[in-house]
Amino acid sequence: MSFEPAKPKVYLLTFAALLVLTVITVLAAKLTLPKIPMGIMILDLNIVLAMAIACVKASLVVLYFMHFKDMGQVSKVWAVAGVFFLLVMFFMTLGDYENRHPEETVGWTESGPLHDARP
Amino acid sequence: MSTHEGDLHVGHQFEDAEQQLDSYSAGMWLFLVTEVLFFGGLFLAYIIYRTRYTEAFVAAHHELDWQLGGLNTVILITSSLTMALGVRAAVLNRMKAVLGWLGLTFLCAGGFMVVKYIEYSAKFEHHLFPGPNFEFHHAGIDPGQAQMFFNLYFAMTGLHGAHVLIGMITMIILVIRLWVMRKQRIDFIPIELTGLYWHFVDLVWIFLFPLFYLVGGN
Amino acid sequence: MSAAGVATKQPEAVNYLNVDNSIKSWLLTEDHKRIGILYLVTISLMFLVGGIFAMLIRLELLTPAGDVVMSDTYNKMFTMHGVIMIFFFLIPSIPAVLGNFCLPIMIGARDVAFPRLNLASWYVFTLGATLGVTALVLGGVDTGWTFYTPYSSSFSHTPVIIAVSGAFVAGFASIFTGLNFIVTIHKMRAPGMTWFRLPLFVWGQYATSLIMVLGTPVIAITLLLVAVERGLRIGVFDPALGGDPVLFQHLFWFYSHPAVYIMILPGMGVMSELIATFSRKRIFGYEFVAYSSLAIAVLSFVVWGHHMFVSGQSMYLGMVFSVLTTLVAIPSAVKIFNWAVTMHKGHVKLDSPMLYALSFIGLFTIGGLTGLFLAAMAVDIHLHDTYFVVAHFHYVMVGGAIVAFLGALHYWWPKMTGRMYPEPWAKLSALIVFIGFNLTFFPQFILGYLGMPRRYHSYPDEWQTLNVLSSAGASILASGFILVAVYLLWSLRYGAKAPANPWDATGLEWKTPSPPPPTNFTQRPIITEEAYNYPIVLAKNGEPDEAVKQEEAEKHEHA
Repeated sequence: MSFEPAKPKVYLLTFAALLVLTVITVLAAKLTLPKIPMGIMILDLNIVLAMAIACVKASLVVLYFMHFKDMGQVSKVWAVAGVFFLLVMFFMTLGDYENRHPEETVGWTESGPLHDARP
Repeated sequence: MSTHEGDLHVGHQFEDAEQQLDSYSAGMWLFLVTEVLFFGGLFLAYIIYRTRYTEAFVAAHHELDWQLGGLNTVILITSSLTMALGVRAAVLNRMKAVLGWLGLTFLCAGGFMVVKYIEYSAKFEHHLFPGPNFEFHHAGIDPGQAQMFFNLYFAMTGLHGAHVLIGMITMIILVIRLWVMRKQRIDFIPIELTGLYWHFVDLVWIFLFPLFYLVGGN
Repeated sequence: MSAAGVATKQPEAVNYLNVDNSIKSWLLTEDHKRIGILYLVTISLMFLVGGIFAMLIRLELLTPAGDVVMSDTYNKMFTMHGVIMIFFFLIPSIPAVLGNFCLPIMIGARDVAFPRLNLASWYVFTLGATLGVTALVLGGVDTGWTFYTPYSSSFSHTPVIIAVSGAFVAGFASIFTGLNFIVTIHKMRAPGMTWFRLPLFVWGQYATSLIMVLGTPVIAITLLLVAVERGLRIGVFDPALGGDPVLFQHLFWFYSHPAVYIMILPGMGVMSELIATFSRKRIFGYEFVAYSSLAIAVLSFVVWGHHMFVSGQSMYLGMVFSVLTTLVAIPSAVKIFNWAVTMHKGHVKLDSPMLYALSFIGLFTIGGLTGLFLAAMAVDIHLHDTYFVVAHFHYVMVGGAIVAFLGALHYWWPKMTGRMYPEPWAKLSALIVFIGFNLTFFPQFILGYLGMPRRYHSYPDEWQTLNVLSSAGASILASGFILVAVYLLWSLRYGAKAPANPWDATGLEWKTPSPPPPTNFTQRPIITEEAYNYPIVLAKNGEPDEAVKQEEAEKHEHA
């Protein structure tokens, strides 16, 4: 891994882009986007948009300020792995909360082979 | 490979400067991965509670000043720029420039903490700090649910603030070290690693800002 | 090779132990070998404390009535037993002791990538352990090692904050070790040491480090939240204050399930070393065993919900976790099969480390299979929180991990200390441990199946016989452990001097003197051979077959 410093222009452009995106984030929050019901959960497009913009900003920081592309393979693989397992934690836990349907189990203990077999 | 790495001190366990740089760099990224998971637990809690208590979270967030939050965002992004330029100067062995950029970064960090202090004091005054003294009076909103917003607000911005403070202390140590070793070639590895850490601190705030200050429609 | 065993009046060679005997040189050491020894001392002390609690528990359970201690005290006993054994013994055990000692030597390096971080990890660990002991001295915690909320965060009147702080701090030691090992394995291998020439112990350490780095931060933040909740009286996990206790469980088990693989993967790595050496044969299916370590590490992160089948978690997600849990058993089974095939037609020698290895294979298989019982959600509903679970995890954690630790300790003892322990006593204690262990924990499978709940200090009279058997077994097991400690310590002074390669094993660590010099090697090794480069199997009549004779002849020509 060699370490060649980037031109200052790269950093300044990244900085400018980040500022612009910050302004966009604030403006986007003023919109009222639809909320899409999906099962129990309601997908709020406002959050989706805000997080999408945040991800773009994050990518800029990682790629240019942290010069991700110049890093060794170990760092790159591990950085991706870290984010991957974070998402695993998020989505599987959400999977629990979104799929609790207690109303579907009402009455389960009131009939069935075990119940009926009792004296 | 850059030729300037030759006169740097190489640890006894390493074969050469390149192996040392590679190792430190990989080590720092690994540490940042642990930080991602560390903050990640709090982000998970935020996701769960926000989906559960959406109305209360929207109501609660109006207590935050989005302009101060936005100002802090700009301050941190600027500090990331100055830090990146500082690392660049270190690689190019420009002592004065490094000290200058690090100083600016430190000032930005200090500014961030000042704004944070202003925000937190306002919260304390308005009885918005979680605990027995918490008060939240909005029609139709359960104060317990609103308190959860503030639990997460203080936990996440507090933890983030602690990381900013640690970054500031690290910068002081860096500057002292640089000054003490000013006759030698700049060892840019500590500055590079501090830079990576600092950019991560910026990253976390990039996500915190919209999640706390810009919840729902304004 | 060196003239080991020839009696001369030469002064003792400089090794990592005698190079400097001052306390300062030990407390400020950057030598991975010394740090391994420091860890050995600390975790052995913690094992003793945790073991005392185990004996107290079994003492109480000798009789059906709760007559030795009150139930509150009993709660503290099993909690402290769990907290100490898991956080302050098992998690560090093999990685921090044998990993630290052997890993750099095995890959041909002078030290780990970050020696000062390594030393820091020992200090941090000791601080964490001290906090744990402090919680103990202040009366002990009674929440169970799982610290479930809201009891731990709101209702318990015990020093919970100190106890979780201890685990929090010790977690950082774990992270430092894992980080260090990953960078070391990636960056510090000697020339010629490709990934697939690495000893499988190293693969095991890598997989373990993967889990340490990715999982530990999550428990750290979770315990921090519990402490904050308790200290500030807020309700992150307390339902009365709007919190969700199941969220705590998700966050807790996201780490704590992979944590159990932190405890077993190093043991499996050890197994590959022991079985190869004591069968004098290459490990069958090297690549499969290597990849299975990684597979276990990755899969371990997607099964945590099997601890939460009865918590109120979604039944559908429970099904997903159930299926994934059965999948994670597959790579473990691959290893067991490969070890068994390795021994087949090998030249098996029943030295004491091998006795531990054989114990591991049997006991881990039982533990692993009973895990599958629990993975099936429908079955788990009946077995959850019974002694079946207790028996299952003790089979894998004691019958697996601790047995592997003992096997590793015996195997590398000559290298670490330069002394041989008395082999007959070692064989005897291996047997005592095996018998004592099974007598302790097998009855608990039956008790669990019959419905005896865990964490209760009293039980119905009809279960006394099984409990008495279990307690008797515990005494036998304890005496086995004590015997091991006694003769190992004895050997430090009176044991025979160990040669460089007492087991005639392959591997770089056996090419250095026992004990090794401070920088491990006088010359940086260059690796040209595969791992476990033992000569090919013997022919049916016990004589080396023609191919082997040819090989040996060629070797002697070139020597």
